Amino acid sequence: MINTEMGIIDVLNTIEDLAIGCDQFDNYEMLIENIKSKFDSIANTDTTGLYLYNEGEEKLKLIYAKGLSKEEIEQAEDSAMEMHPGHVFKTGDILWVQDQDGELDSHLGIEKGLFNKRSRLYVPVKSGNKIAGAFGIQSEQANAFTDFHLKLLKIFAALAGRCHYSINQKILIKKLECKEKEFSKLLYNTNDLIAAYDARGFINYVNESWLNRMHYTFEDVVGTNIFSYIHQESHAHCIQFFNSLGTQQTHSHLVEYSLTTKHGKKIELKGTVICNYEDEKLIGINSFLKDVTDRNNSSRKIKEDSEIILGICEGIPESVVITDLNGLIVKWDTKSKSLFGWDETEVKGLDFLETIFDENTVPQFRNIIDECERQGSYEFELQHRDLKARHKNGNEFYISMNLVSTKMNNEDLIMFFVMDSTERKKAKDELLRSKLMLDLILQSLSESVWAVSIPDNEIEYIDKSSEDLYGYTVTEWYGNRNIWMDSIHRDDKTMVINETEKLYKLGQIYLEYRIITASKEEKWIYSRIKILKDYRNLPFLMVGISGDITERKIAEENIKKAKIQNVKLKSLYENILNNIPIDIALFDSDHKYLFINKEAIKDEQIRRWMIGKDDFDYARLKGNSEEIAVKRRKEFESVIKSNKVAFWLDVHKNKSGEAIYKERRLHSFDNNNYVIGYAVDVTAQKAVEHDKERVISELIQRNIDLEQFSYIISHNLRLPVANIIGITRILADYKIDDNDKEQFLSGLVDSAKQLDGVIMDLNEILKVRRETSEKKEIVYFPDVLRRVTEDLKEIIKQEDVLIVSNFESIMAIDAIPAFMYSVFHNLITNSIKYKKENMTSLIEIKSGLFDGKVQLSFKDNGIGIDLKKNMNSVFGMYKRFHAKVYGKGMGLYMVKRQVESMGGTIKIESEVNKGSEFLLEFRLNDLKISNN
Amino acid sequence: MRNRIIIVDDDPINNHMSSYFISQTLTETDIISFELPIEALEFLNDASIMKDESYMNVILLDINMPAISGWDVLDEFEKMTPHIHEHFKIFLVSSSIDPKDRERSDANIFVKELLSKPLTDSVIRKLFTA
Repeated sequence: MINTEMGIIDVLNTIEDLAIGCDQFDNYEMLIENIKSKFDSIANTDTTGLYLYNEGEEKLKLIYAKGLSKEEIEQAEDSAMEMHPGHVFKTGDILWVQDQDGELDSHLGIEKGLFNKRSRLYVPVKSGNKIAGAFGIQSEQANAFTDFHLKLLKIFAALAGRCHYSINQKILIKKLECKEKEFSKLLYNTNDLIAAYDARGFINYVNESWLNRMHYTFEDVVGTNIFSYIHQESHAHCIQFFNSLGTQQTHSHLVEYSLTTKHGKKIELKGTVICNYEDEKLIGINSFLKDVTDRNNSSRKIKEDSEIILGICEGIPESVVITDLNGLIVKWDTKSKSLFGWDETEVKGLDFLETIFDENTVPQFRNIIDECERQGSYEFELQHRDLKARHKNGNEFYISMNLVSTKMNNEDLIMFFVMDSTERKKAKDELLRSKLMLDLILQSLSESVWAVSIPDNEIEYIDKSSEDLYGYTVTEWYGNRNIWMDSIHRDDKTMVINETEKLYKLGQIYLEYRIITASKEEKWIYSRIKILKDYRNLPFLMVGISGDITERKIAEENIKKAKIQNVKLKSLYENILNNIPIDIALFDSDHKYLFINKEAIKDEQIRRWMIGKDDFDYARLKGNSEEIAVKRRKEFESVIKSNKVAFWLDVHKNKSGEAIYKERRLHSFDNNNYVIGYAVDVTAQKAVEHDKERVISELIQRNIDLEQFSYIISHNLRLPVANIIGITRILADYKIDDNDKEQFLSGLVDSAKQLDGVIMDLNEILKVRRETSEKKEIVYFPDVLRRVTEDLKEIIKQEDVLIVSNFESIMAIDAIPAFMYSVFHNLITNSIKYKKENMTSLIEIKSGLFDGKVQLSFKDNGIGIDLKKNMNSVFGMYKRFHAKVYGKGMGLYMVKRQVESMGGTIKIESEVNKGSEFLLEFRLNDLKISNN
Repeated sequence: MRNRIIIVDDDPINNHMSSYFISQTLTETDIISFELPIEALEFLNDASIMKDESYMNVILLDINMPAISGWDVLDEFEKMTPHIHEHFKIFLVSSSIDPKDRERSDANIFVKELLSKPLTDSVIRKLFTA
């Protein structure tokens, strides 16, 4: 998988790319694309799968799968929860099975054998504080995964989790933005005056109706305090109310107070105030108020003069319904008709409450009226909001209703002022829902959200997540303004302070620093801090989001460390490899060099150049033949194919022409992804071996010589001696006639000559041994042949001999001239001796280069030798094969001795009556060849 | 029945010498000598066909000869009829003092004895009595 230093650097770069990019993905597709391409380029696995939990479907979706068909992906998804990914997802444990493991499988409730993948490795994918899924690899082979896979998988899972988290957050924020848009549209369109302000009354938001009624612009009011608009009459009441909010813990309050418009006009308002509390602390107030100035005026007027009620009623925005104390409708104005759909004539005399409410709401009012009756006082004024009412057509909607007791013509009556509050109710509900959702989002964020006042550094707000992050409770936070600064890691404090100072200039900053939590744990966090300015453009609040990035930082640190370590290791390894006195090279699966050490190639420039190249490139660079490259490629391919170590001995000449022997070895590893080659210089060993071989062969030769000697002495020397003894005995002991005497005397002379000849031959043999030490020189074959034919001129003419020669391919060798002459002389003489009678003797002599050896061939068309019978004695001394031919049996013996003493070999091919061929071979590295 | 000695040796000097010794030692004996063993074998074949029983034969066979050695002649002799085997006693003759030859001759049932060159009176006298 990853075995070279360069490979690891690539991995690190890839991970680094991904780590940097992982906050920038907007959707899963980008994430998958990135992980897929990067992980696959590093990890060479059969099957890879990234499962992420889909909340909507409550299942693990396989968002990235390598090595699975569409059907297999569906199957894997269906069973994922019950299988290994599910186990990892549920427990958060790493699952590593290197072989079919019945125990674990049965523990998971998986039937053994159902899952045929043999090696499985899954790690959980953490998104924020939650486990979002599982990332795993599988292989058909047992023990397929190593620690390296685990580390790689962990890093990628961490990155995938980081991406997942970042994407999820973006999706949540987008959803929230959409909701807010919808919500603000509602707020914008309502007639209610809506405002939002903080616990101290500073206005964050007011709607269009508020601005219209108050005659201000948005810019005028945002950041200012609500108290500056409260009418003097309401001031004391409002301050009291505001103060009570901090302790009351009630979300909704009915309020009534007055504001002063830009032009000094008083407007009376009535409505609801909703308080937002966070951990029992008031953080904001939203008010939904209705302008009741006109209505109050009219109801006041009604009280004063009931006669003009009806006329006035037409002028106010509310519908007005008048009933008697029993609730039966007396008066039903036109606005009521449009609100409820009923005409006055249809409803007059009917029970008002029963007309517009269902049976659940009616009793509530009945009780009020009954209570009034019991007390004997019919003076009351009640207000009810957001009651569910019914239109004539059956549609339900919300109304707000005020009821006032009144007297008309001395009759006690009740006046109902009714207003459609459906829109308002909707807006209120939406606000509540949004708030709930915001809380939900804030909770789901592992980030801590906080606000600190300026310049007193008081914690204004901090959410629950901070407890997880820092380990301090919210109460502790509110109680101690120093927690934030104190918890910053000693080494990062200066940096954080310096950066925070820039805050005033930049408006917002982003920091990454370490903190020490309450439990003395070191964490890496980030903070995005923004400054808020008040209407005077002075900063008053610092708002920040802080999150845990420890995991990412550790991953980054590890990457950095690993990178440094790898660079160090790489140079260490290279140093070691470059100082080993063995040629070392590392190849990829295409036989290209990945590494080559100093011993193999001394020149550093060439060494560098070789990376990514092959032996053919090297041959071209050096202008050498491709013979070596071809040979090595053949060995390389055999290694890849057989998965066995290739081993061969290779000889080349160095600059001074000395033969250098190298023992080469090639073997592949990591599924043939890499092949390593070594070459050990065994020249010294070879020289020793060579010497040994030479000494041994010399000893063998000596032994043969000795045997030959003893043979010569026992046969060839003994024969003439026996004859001499015999003849001298005859001459001494017998009376013989002159004729016999003469014959015996000539026999005696012949025997003596024979004896002398044998002694001469022995001398000749000894001479070969002596002359071996003579210096070799370049001997030209044509010259030798010319001299021999010159010397044998007479016999060649006499015996009808034709000599044909071809020395075109090899013209000369390094040899002992006298020996070479003898070889030519003896072989040619031999051919002539054993020629067929009455036929031209044809002798063909040629030289050539075969299999790295110089070959010299002497071929004739003579009578041949029966090799079956004489194979062992052809080159023996005093061997003759033809009774009728003159010869001492010394020639071939001498040729063999001389050829062998020059390092060559000789063999014969022959067939009776067809001819003989003598083949001489000389090794190249012992003899320099020449074509000149 | 007459005695006859057949000398098979490629060395003419030896043949001449041996013939002389035999003629001087065994007066009533015929002597034939062959320099080429093939001729000796032909002679034996002829004798086999003719079933000539008028001679008691002794062959003095040299071991070291070119082309056909004494051993080769013995191989051919082995293939011949019991009649021939009965009427031809073979003595190997060699100038050699090679112990290998001695071993080989001892192992061959047709060889009466291995004689060393040059032949002496005493050896020749025993040829027909052995």
